[in-house]
Amino acid sequence: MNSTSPEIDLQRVKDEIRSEAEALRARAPAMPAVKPRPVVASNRAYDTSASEYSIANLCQFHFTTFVDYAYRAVLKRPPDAAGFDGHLKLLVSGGSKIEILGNLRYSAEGRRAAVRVPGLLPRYALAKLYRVPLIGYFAEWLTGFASLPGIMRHQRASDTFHVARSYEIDTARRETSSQMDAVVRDNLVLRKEIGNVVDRVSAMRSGLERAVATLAEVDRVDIRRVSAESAELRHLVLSMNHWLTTLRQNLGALERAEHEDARRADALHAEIVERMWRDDSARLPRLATWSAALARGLQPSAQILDLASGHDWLAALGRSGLHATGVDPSEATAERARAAGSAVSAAEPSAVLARLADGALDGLTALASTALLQELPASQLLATARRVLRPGGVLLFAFDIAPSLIRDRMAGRAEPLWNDVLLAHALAASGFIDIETLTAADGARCVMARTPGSTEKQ
Amino acid sequence: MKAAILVPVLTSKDAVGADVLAMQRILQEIGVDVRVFCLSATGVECKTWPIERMVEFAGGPNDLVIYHYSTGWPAAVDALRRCRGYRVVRYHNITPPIHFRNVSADYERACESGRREIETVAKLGCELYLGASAYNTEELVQAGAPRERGAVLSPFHRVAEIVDAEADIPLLNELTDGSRNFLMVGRVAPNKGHLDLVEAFGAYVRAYAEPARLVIVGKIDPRLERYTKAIEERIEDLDLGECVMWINGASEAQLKAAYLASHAFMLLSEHEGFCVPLIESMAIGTPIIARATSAIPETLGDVGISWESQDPWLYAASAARLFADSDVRNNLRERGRARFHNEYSVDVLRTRFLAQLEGVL
Repeated sequence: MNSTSPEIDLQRVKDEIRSEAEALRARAPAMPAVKPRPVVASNRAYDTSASEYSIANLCQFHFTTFVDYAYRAVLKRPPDAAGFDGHLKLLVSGGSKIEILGNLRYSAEGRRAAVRVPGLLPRYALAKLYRVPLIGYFAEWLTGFASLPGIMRHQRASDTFHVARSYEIDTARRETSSQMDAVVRDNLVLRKEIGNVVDRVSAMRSGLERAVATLAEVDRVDIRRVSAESAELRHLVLSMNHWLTTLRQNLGALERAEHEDARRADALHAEIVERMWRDDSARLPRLATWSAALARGLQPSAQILDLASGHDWLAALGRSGLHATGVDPSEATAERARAAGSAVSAAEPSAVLARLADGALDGLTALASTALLQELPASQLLATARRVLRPGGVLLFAFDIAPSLIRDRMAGRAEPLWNDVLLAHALAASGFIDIETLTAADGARCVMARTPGSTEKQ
Repeated sequence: MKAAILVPVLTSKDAVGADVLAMQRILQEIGVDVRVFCLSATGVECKTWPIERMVEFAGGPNDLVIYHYSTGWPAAVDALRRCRGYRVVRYHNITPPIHFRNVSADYERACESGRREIETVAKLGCELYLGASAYNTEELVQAGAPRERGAVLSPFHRVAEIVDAEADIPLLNELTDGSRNFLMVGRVAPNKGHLDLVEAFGAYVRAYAEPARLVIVGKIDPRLERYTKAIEERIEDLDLGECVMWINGASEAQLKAAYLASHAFMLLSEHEGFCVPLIESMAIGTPIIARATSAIPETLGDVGISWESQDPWLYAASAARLFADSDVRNNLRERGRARFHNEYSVDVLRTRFLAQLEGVL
């Protein structure tokens, strides 16, 4: 055995237990004696398999049990219905057990079974003799007279037995009666408790019905309240909707008015710039000088974008053999340029520059650079210019009048302090090369520069 | 080939029923057409047939008939006589009627008539006499069965289901209150020695000042009321009413809890043909103290403390030794588990059963 506990010698253990048991027997308190119990009648043997019975054994039972036992013992079978009834009637009418036993034993069936019952025959013959008219009467009388002392003893014993039985029955009856009284009392208590329970159930039912009614009322009240709140909420939503619609319309009207104001201001600024350009007699020679300088650095087919420099600059470029397209943030200025035959779109220059591909332009011009710097920081403007110009592309920036500058001046905002020196340094710092300041006859200056990558003139 | 299993009353819960159903299942598993013939069946799912149709079904020379003999059944004996195939008498033993004298005339007569049939059955000339124990087989041999046709096969059982069952927690809680629990499992019948058991338990309570409890698990039969009453009176006489717990008709969960929470399984039966509760104790690990009568020594082997005497002090001292000596306790537990595994596990019994029928299957 694959054991994990120590192996034991069972015989040695049993020897030790035996010694301990002896010691226990000596020292433990004695076991209490078994109380005697009354012997119950059915303890008596009901042996139906034997081949010989004494009369006393067969007669130990009474009435139906006697008849049943007699059949089973003497005939070795249970009694049939007719025989059972006949022998019971015989017993009831005062017949003796001996006569019944004899009837069974000496019947044809009984003789076949051949059960031995010592002493039965003479007693059975005597019992039969009693049945003979007249002689039987005297014979029974004589026998009875002769056995009178025995009968009297039996009678006294019988009296005692019946008195004892009567006493037992009386005692049992009293016990039963007292138990019945207790049962009746319990029954009354039970009935009372049942009544209480019924009352409680009834009260609970009433309470339940009240609760159900209350709940129904609560339901009705709630539904009315929710319905009213719903109508009020609907009214509020509609009011809110009306208010929002009105607000949207008012805002639209304000926006339209503002837009109109802006449009009028834009037209005003464009008109002012036009007037200023017309009054500036040096402008056209200046533009001719700068455009000629630019034409020297670019091929006639070069892609040039101008940022809000005015339609006369585009015309000057055309006269120098270059073609440029322009963008201008002022709708009015763009319209005037288009009316003068220049290709100018109304758009924000910074947005146009952001959308252009890398190296998309040969030339980039902005005569009103200061106005651009209002929208785009200089660092970002120069970096973007580097990006959109192809290698060797030319940039020309000046500080002339433009509508946006007029707008700022009219709004009281200060003009940034930029000049050609600062711009030249800024261009150099941003990687441009061949930086050149051009001075017109009137002393106005522009700055022209080239992106690195090609020294060849376009 | 066809096989018929004869049993007077088939129930799923008793020892004979477990044996019958297991044999039926095993034979079906190897492809034999098996039917059970009986007078009545309760609690079983399989269909059963009346004994009158047995010969027609399995009376041929190539058929197998197994008669589970545990009470008198003349119709089965008559049917066996008319069969020409391989006939097996599976003997579970019949309690000698003397145990029922002065307790129940019905039981006494039934046992008497059943035992009267032993000689008839033994002399039928069946091909195999298969006792549930050597004690049973020897009874058949003594009654006239040829010794060379005698064999032993322990009964199939439902121990695995008890081992696998979840223990009843409320009962487990109730039993684990610090008291020493003595357990007896078996129907409340006079051959089971409950009166001596109560005496032995009373001796322990008197001799040792320790809280103890006797747990009597078993079905109480109203027809044996006189015996049950005698046990109650003995308990009352010994003033043990507070220390005895009766569990009438325990469930598997309760049985498991009782075995687990008991410190000793104590059996003082006067007659057992095998005694399944002994192997239940072995499987679950409850140490055994038993009286060495009938088939008990054979079933128990050396895995418990057994005595031929019924001296209550011996049993009380045995219990005290078990409670005090963990080496003895653990060793007996381990021996019990090993014996169950090696001798009584269903796999072992299946192999032995098929080996017994090797010549005919």
